[in-house]
Amino acid sequence: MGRYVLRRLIFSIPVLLISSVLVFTATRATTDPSAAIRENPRATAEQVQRYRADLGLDDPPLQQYLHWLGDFVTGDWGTSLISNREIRPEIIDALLNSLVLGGLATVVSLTLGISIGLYSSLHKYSKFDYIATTGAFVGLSMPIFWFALILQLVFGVYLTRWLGLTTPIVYTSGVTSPGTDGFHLVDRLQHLILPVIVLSVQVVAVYSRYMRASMLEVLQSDYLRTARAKGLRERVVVLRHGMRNALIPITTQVALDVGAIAGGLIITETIFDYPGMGSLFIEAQGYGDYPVILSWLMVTVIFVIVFNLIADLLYAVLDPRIRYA
Amino acid sequence: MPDATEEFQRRQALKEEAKAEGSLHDIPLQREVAAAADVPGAQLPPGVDRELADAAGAGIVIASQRELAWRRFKKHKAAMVSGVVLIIIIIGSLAAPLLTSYTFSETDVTSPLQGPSMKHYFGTDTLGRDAFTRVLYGGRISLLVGFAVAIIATVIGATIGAIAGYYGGWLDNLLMRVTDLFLSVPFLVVLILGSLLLGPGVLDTVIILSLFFWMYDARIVRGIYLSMKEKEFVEAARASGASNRRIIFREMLPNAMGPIIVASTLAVAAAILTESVLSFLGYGIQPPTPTWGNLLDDARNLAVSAPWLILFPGIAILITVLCVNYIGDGLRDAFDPQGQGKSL
Amino acid sequence: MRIRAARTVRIVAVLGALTLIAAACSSDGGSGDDGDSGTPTKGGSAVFGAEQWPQCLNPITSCAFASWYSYTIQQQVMPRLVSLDTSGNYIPDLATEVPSLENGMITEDPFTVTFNLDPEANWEDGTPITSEDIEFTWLAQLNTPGAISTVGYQDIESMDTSDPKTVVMEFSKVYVDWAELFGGGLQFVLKKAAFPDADADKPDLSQEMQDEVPFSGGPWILDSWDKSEATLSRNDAFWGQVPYLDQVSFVRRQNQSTEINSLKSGEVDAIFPQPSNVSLIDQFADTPAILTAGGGSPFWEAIHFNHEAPPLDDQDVREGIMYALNRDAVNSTLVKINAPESEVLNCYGWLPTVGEWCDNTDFAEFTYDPEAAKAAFERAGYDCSSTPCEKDGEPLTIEYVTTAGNDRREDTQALLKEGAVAAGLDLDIKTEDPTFLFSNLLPKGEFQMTEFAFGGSPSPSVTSISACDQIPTEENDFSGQNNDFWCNEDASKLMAQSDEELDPNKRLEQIHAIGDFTVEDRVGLPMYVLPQLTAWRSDKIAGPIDEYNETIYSSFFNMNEWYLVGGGS
Repeated sequence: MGRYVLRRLIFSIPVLLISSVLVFTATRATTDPSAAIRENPRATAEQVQRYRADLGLDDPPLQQYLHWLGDFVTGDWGTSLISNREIRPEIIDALLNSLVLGGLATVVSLTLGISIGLYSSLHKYSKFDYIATTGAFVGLSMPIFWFALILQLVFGVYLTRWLGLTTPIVYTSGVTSPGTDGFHLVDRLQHLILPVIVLSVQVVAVYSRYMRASMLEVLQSDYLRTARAKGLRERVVVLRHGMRNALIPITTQVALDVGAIAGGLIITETIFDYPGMGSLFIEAQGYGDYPVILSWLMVTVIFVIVFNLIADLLYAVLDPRIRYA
Repeated sequence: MPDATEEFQRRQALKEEAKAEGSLHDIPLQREVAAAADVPGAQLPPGVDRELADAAGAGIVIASQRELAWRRFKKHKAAMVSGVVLIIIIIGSLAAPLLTSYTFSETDVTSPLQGPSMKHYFGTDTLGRDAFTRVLYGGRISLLVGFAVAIIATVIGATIGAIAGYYGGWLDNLLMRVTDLFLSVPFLVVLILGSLLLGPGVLDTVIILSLFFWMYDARIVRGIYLSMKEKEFVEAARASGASNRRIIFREMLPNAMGPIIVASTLAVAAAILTESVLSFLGYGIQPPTPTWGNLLDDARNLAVSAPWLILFPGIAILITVLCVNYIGDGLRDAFDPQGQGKSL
Repeated sequence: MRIRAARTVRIVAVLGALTLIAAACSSDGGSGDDGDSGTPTKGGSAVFGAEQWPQCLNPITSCAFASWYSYTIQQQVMPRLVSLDTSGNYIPDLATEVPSLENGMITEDPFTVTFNLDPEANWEDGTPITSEDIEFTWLAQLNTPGAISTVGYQDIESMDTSDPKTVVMEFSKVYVDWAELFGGGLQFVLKKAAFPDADADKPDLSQEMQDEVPFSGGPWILDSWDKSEATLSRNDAFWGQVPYLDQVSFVRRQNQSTEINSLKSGEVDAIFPQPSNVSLIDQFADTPAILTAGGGSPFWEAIHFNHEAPPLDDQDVREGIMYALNRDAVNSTLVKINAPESEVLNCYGWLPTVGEWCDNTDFAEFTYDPEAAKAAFERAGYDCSSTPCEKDGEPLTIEYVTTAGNDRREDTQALLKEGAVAAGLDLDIKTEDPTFLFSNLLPKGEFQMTEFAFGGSPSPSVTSISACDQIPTEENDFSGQNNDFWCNEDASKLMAQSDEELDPNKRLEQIHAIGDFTVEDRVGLPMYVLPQLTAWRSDKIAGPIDEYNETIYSSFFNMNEWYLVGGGS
């Protein structure tokens, strides 16, 4: 198994290299980090040239890329072209923010999804099942940026006014209330609620469908029949034996989803002005800040790859059909 | 202890097969945007109607298989209703000039930001343009992008998946590593960079979306081919001297059509959503060409004073995507009567 | 300098070098006035939304072109030799008077400028602000790698700092924009003692001020700054008007719809949004507690022609287009909704609200007139009996490109295109990514007609955008700013002369003559002054917030006089 993991990780090196070359090429071709200074009438042609030379923008592209790659491999993530600040701490901060948001959304989605799916499968074709199914379809079809706009309006603006408050119960953007020092759980949650709802609306739908489907499959399986035949109580059968097996596919899916958090929350973070990885990318993209974009890409791709691997391993560990010797 | 490589391959094969069996595992979920596509995709049932296929070797059963599928599809009420609604939406946007007396670019600065009325069903925008007309014309582009991307991506994906699954070995390995590459890169990021690279046109957007929509089809089709290639009818065809190309596209493909159709239907929904997200973020298709996404982008700052400009394009996207998803579900049931999907 | 899309995700608000001046008229776009919200009391804190977020805090380097850096931090913590008043005139600040030829503080040959520093002026720790700080700032500007611009600073030959409260600058040549050094719109003075590690002769500050500003000579002290929030607290040692509020925070609201919602929901107390095609005044109409004050800005929008791209190399064609574009409709539909007193702009290079450089009549004759347009096209050899006009079987189609993601410009395109039809002109409207447009298409001349905004400069010099030698070429690495590709040798000569003219009257004459050239040559079509506005919650904060400022300073310039309604708590 160790060799298998190693093999998978080695496989991922070409993936990282190729994707970074592609993204480097696309970024350098579409954006210009010296755009702002070029447009500054106070800057003379010489100064523009010096600025570009300082940033290495006029070096051959291959050299720029290799320069970045060499630094990255040796653990030096370099500094942003625009802010001149170190990239690594910026990415770590953003990553932590995204993980908090994505993690919370995952927990909420899992809890809701599993509960809804379980109940639906046990009460197949009931009114609840019917509503849950319809809800899942609506959730899956939701343009979430639109949903986010509507939520901001309803909860941030209308509800606040309707209740006659001067500050809202749930905030429309940001991470914490300005001027707060340290960590305030309630304040933090008030800021997280809307983005978490937006992120969860599709994922709950997915998880509940998964859970329902796999639970139905398990309920009809032979070993559950065996368990019942042994005289175990239905509740025990369902919860201990049934649910455990039904959770296998959803577990691996969650691992994959967590892997996508690092690079996948662009829309939500943009709309809610949440300073995570998504906002970081959009900002760096706007400036053509390619060292930031490339380091960002490495982190997100590694995340995806590692969690893919974890998903596979989990699958192997949990599924009775597959056993490592 | 078995060799890790062997174990790896065995497991891969098992996984693919499990997937073809409707397992839920290993369809990477791109959060947000693509969720609608990936996830139902994950539930994709085999679609190969095993009994029929086994009973009679390929071709002959196709007609009856289709007939059966259609009969089953008709029983899926939500899918039938969705089909009708979707057809209305498509006809509505195609027949836009007949349904409205305005053009999408015609301004009337004397009546900006009017609420919905008999004169302007969906109200007017900042320049007094008729929002109903703009939603109709926007639908043309959004639907065009959705269908075009789904078709192109399905052709690419099915071809790659079929070749990988049929030939196996290093070719399979290579193609699947390429697929992994495409799946590992954050989806929206490559779309944003790609759309900047290609430009803001409709064709550009179709190309860039298609380039990143084929992987799901490829994996599904590969799984089916993998499980199908040892079947008798394939061996019979091989024995009778049929070329590989013929076997892949003539003998095996018809048997894989079910899941392919389901996957491409769901891809339509995902492509419509994705196009709207790209346009909303300010990439992708730009005005003056209206799409549902850029209509929403234009109106986002007007949410308070002109909520109708936000409401109608959003509802148009929601309903269209919902219909497509229901149809996909109906098709899944139709092609896979034993699958768990049918209770949806 | 151009402004790009005021669009949230696309940032980069390049505010190059400074700018401006502005406006005598400040209009109250909202309703009511505050001021009767109790008396100013010390204490309390407030939160403001920032539409763009600077990438760094070092004012010498790349931050120098982020306007929101200046609004939120630089102008709040760093002192200036001279400042701008709300109409864009220079007024004393750190300097006790504004130097001029009359008061003898400017000499012409050699060119020297003398500033006497306010004897009261001191840093946050009580130490005086001295001429050595000015000298240090000068050296830092010259010796910091990556400095955005050393224009002006590099013309200073020496500084006499023998008197701690007097500084005499001797220049190697006349530099008319001397007021824009160490103050004015965007420049500043640094505290020498805050950088003890810097080399006294060649200070390199490129690694300093990454996320802090370790001193204050302004009303506020920067407490903390990160990627989503900046917090300023009162500088009790400030030598001017000490703020009432204990603390203010700026929070990032890059998404304008989110920014609007934040103000309406009460999460922030004031915002300073750049309106797009939406009437922000209407957006706030249903929340009576929200007041607005708005008007012009230091930025002017114009249609630009590429004089080297056929058929726009033909003056008659340009004239025809100028008659075919309905500027008035654009102004009344898209600009007046936020700045009700806005008028069509009639100067190409100057703002009517600044000094006497522009009397707003130059381009007044070009009102929407389809017949005049057709007549001009016909003079150029077009046949306008059919629509669009034709010449040699080719229809008169002009590509009109602007920045993608800017709703106001997209709407402008739609309006102008529709109006142009009656004049026999077909406009092919397109949008391009701003970076691509500004870095590729414009410098390489790969466009016909485009629209964007320039920032007006405190000096009336238009050399950098209109002189012959500023046309982008291979030699100047395509960095020239004359994107009209307009070259009139006589006008260029006048521009060079006026850049060294210290006599205001002579200079005025020269500028007016340059203005005449722009009309004569049908250079381009000025459109309007970009609107701006402040919106704030009158149930939370009060003070002279409605003292609308059309300069580069933003509405937060007098934040030290704002206070909480009902007193601080």
